[in-house]
Amino acid sequence: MEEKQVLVRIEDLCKYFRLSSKEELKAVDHVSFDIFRNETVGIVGESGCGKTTLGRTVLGLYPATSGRVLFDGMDVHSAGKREMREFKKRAQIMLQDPYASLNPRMTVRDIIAEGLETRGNFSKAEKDERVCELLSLVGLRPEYRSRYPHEFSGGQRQRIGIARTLAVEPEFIVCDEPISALDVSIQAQIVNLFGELKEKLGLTYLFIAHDLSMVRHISDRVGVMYLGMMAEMADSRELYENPRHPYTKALLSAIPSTDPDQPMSGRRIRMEGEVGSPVNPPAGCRFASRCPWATDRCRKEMPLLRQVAPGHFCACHLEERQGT
Amino acid sequence: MEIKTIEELACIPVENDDFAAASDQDEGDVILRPSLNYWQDAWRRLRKNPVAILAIVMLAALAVMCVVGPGMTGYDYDAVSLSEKNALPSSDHWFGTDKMGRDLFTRVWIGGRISMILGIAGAAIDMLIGVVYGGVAAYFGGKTDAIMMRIVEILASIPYLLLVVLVSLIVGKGVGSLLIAMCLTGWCHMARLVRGQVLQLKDQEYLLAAKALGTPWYKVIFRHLIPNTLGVVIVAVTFDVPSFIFGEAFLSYIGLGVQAPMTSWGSLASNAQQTMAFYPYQLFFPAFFIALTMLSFQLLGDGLRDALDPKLRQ
Amino acid sequence: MNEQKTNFDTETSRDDSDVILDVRNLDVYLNTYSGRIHAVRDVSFTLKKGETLVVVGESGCGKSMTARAIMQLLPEKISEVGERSQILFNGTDILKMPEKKKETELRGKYISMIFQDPTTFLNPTMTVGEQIAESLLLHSKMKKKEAMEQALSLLKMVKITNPEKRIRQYPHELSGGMRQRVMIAMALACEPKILIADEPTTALDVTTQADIMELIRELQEKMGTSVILVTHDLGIAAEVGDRIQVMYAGEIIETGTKSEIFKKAVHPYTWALMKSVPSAQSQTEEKLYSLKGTPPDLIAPPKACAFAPRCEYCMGICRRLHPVMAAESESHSAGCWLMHPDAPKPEQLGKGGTI
Repeated sequence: MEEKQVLVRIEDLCKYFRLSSKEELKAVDHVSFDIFRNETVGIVGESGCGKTTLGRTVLGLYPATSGRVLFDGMDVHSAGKREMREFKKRAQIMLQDPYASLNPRMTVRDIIAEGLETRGNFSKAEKDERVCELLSLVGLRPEYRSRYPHEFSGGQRQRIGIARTLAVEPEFIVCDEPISALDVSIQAQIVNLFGELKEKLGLTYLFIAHDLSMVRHISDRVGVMYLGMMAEMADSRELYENPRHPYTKALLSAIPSTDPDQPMSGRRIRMEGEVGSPVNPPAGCRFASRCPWATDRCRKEMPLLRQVAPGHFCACHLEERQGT
Repeated sequence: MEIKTIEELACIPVENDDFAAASDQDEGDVILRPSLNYWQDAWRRLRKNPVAILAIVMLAALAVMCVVGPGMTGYDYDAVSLSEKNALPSSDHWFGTDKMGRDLFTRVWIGGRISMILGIAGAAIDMLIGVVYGGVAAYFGGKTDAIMMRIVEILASIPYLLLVVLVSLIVGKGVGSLLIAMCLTGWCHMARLVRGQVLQLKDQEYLLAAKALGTPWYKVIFRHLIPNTLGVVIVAVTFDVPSFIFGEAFLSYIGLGVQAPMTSWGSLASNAQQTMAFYPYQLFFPAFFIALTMLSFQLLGDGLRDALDPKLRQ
Repeated sequence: MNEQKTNFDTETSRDDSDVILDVRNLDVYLNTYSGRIHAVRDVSFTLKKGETLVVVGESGCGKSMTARAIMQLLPEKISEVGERSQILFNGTDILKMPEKKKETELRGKYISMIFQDPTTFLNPTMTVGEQIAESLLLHSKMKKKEAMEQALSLLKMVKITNPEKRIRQYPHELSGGMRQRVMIAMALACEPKILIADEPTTALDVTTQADIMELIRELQEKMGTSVILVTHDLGIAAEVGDRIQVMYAGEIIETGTKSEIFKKAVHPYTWALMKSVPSAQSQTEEKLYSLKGTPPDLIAPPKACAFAPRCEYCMGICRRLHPVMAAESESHSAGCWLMHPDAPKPEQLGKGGTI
């Protein structure tokens, strides 16, 4: 890649949900990273790790508790109404569930036109023409534009969702598990479509998923989240080949192998104990309760995300000691 | 399914170009199922429900009779004939006459007009107010929702009879005051229902998508929320109509409703009740039509609920 | 196990072959509002004692319906099983069993099932212990107290942490992985002969998924249960399966041992499935292999090869005739015209090169 230009800067972002006067769910806790233009950053983690909340807070769909999100220099969370409208044209979201994310009472044409309307006023014929263009761009037959979402399969619906998002002509798209509800062969179709569109339209993605292998394929850089914290972040190749954080190692070791001669049981790193809760989390490292290598220091002191190799960040006390 | 050997496979007769690569046929992604929108789909399901269809037919017949019935006999509904007091049903007076000699057949259908119009108008007003109120409360949520729902609770806790008496004191007795009194609190349950529905829909991802697209709030309400609550609302309205008809009958029965010589099914029944021991047919006809209408609406409501419930979609 | 002599047990002693389940010509139809869907089309297979059969396929390929048919848990009213279909459990056709007998003797006792989403199958108003005990009481003459003790040892068996506490908890107090463990404990309560697992780990995180798969495999070895595992994940199939059966559009298109399927597959759909899964180990920078199109709608099942429209090795015959299942080896067979001796090599046909 030539000159790297920061498109989205996330600075010390926190999003807490207040459950009661005493309990606070720290869904996203002091997360910072940059997303460069025309780059795909993947975020992986188990359910409940705050990755979805992160995506939505970055887009300003949830107000942030503290920290900033700078989109092309503009602070998303303190933007005025007009700035926000402008921002919504440039940053969009793709949702996970192809069944719930399309209004069942609207035709495909109307669904996609909803995205178009944000770009200004179009005549009916213009709208129709643009809808057809978008449908063929995502690989669907334009003839089906007057049908209803329930008549399409999961993969086709996800394509309709992509067309709606693209109608806005955004620069930045947060993809919130867009493939996890789809079949394997369809997942590959959609991932390839994302790749093609990125090339063709110069898009930037924040790609959230729990499927580690798909994320590796699509992302330039990958971040691993654990209970609201960023545990590790690196170039995807580096992360998968040279994971530093014990959690990343455990995650990678649990992926079932498609090679029957190399079963995962041999290389598996087993995690002990129970998953902690993001509600009033412990003071030390959040992974300490499950980490096979946890020390007293891990239980007391929160490790900070620091650079362990060029472009490779890891939040682990053990790593620090190995480094010195 | 049987498994053959490769040798057996070779014995299957083949044609010339069987083993040539097939030309590309762009036949993928063809949708075979017919395109049906929500309402067409619901209608298809309703059509398969004989009970609901019977209810529709009965309601249609009742509606037609309310329109043409009064003109069929040639008697005016308020024409008093002292010579024919309390006549039994006969070829002259199909349903007999009342104690003032008025033709009951005509009066039943005139009364039916009032009952039906009141029922439908009342339900429609309930729906309009309820949908807007409930929708707005749920959409904005938070304090707006809390305040709006408290108002609903206060309104719903006022005794209904008290309201009717008050309204009839101010506006005067009659159909209009009856309608006002009943609607004053009637929309509350509809507002609650719509609010519940909208709250459920608010979690749907397509609303989040609309929000992310920057769709303005009024479009969100009219394009996403209302169409998706309509099914439930229609079912509720169908059940609402008979409760209005019955409410009218009850109020007319205790003398607060329609005033003579105008009549309704309720006041017909009320009048007949005094002489029930001697002339039971005078009570039978209005009571029968009240029951039939209510039953039909209930059955239709059940059928509609089955047809419109998206959870039952296959 | 309590020893109540049923015809299943007698059949076993007479018939000493090690086939425990024999499904023959299974057809399942679903009568939906949109029309009649032929969800499972002429499926035949056998399950041996103590083996793990993995059924792989995409959603709508009929894999779950096949599992439900064996369990006799097809959706009521709308489903219909073909007339010629037979499901022989130890030689007895369970399709012809009276409903009451299915209830008391088949389900839970001889064949058990675990589902994708344990939440919907656990009663939220009963504690975990009570629910396990209930399934024990249903099938044996245990006393309540004994059943609770047994429930505790079952929870220990499925390796739930702190079982003495968990036994008194309600399902919502448990995590997804723990709920799945409870389901497994319930399913194994009566030591069934066959365990059917319908996508047991799809809703779980990778690490939990690995734990659950390990648990199933371990328990199977200990108890000698036969397992039918339904999944869409080839990785899982490779990890736990002895034999693998690939389904597409309601039919079995290829079946074989694990190594035969992963190393010597002959059906292009099986190749495609394997290619479209990116591996976390190997580095691939280029585009993912992806199949074009979508599976056919079984409201009008294709007459010829169901996969032909999406197949890059499609030949004339594929559009004309339905493929015939043919044996590559004793355990390996597939339904594809490429196996015909006169057919060209796939390399000559394919546009995308070899496997």
